[in-house]
Amino acid sequence: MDDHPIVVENLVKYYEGRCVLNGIDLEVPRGCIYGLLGRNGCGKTTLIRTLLGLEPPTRGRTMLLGADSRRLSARARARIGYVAEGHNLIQNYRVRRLIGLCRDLALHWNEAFFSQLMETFRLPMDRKIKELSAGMRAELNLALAMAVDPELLILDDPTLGLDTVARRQFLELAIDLIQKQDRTILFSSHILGDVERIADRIGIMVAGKLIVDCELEELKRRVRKLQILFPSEAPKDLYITEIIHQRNAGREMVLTVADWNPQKQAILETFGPQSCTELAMTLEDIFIECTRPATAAVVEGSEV
Amino acid sequence: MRTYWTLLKREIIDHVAYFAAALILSGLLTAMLVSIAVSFDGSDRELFGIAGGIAATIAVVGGLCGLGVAQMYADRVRNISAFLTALPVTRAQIFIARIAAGVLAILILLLPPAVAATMLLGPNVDGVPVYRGVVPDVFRGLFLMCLACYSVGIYAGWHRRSLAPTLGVLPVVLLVPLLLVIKGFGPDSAAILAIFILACLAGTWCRFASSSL
Repeated sequence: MDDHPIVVENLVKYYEGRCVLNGIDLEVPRGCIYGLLGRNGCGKTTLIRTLLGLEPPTRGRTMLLGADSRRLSARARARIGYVAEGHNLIQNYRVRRLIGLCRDLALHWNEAFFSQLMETFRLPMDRKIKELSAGMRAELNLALAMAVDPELLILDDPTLGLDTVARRQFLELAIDLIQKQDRTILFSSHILGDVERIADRIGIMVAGKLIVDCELEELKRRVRKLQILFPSEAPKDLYITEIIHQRNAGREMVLTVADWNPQKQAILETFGPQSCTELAMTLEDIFIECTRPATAAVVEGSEV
Repeated sequence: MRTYWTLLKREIIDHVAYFAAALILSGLLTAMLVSIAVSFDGSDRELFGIAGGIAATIAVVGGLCGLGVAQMYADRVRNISAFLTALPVTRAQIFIARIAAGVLAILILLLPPAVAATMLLGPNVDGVPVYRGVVPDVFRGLFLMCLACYSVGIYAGWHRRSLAPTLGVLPVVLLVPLLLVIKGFGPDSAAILAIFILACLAGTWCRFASSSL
């Protein structure tokens, strides 16, 4: 259990009669930077909130650092840093008071590191949190999360609402901090570039399901996009397993498929294609293919 | 203990108006007790004005219920517990510190008058002809009444999402002092109030421990 600071077992969450998380299984190994991707409303934040014990699961269980999320002790919580979506800080507190509160409650507080961060950010200490810009709130939240030297860092869409410059500054600082210390990180975002720069393992969520869970390089290697030309109209009934997306337009078929192998190639050959060209895919292309609404059902039975 | 102290301090600072009001009211009650004892001339006139008593009761009952509502309602609106539980703090610690703040407000309110009453009715003081032994019973009853009103406040504050229905419990809370008027300060009313308080606190804890933050 210690080798996996984050464990999710058959997690199901219903919210007001709607299934928000549908049978999620996930294990994040120690030292891994895990990028959790998904479109808005796919369940990323609910998964993270359930992991932290902020949401009770309907079924299944989640564990952080070997302890059940619903029964996390103060000592276990002290080893976790959390940057919430929208930077959920106490809005009517002044910056100084909020820092004081966090410092007093922390079991371990790296004052030297925190001071260094505050010097970089130059936050106005006497201003109320609600009067700070989104970028300042993000910086403060990150500084508070990092000051406890967390063993496990959970960042829930930390760049949401930031403009391009603030987002880039925030990410560069985050990358710098992350790379300096060996820790497990769960990083959720819907901005592909952010995740691609940081993560070494990727999870893609679609409609409450984790449809992809593998290393970033493996994902890029396993998912192929093929442009196939047929002499006449492209066949609609191409019986190949693990098709992520298929688009037919006249003689042309664009096929996104996982685990392309000689067997699948042989099946394709039986349809007599004129040409078959592999198209280069970025993480963004893979993400878009995987999260197309019509493909969710196709991918469900063939987790990448 | 440092966590509890920090959380308690946070509760006091966030609701300082209630604690200041408790302190002022406590001072007024103490002054009133001293004034009665000093100016008592042995006649049969009423020791306390009925109107003043009712006004003080409403202020105490409403204020303590309001404190409970304010603590829980502010938590819901500002996501305070959601923030705190991301720190090395458990829901149980937040809840205990919150209740401790409520008990502290009640003690601030009742302790000075209780001490004053005990001293004014002391064995070596010639004063108001009241049986000394009644003081602990009266203040125990008043403490439980205050705690019951506070408990209703935190129960309502966490159970209702909007403020209007939450404030709707205030008239209900006014019924609590009637129990003391009808049953007196004896062990019966103390037992009823204690059960009522436990039920309110247990109900609030169950919801607080299991709900989304």
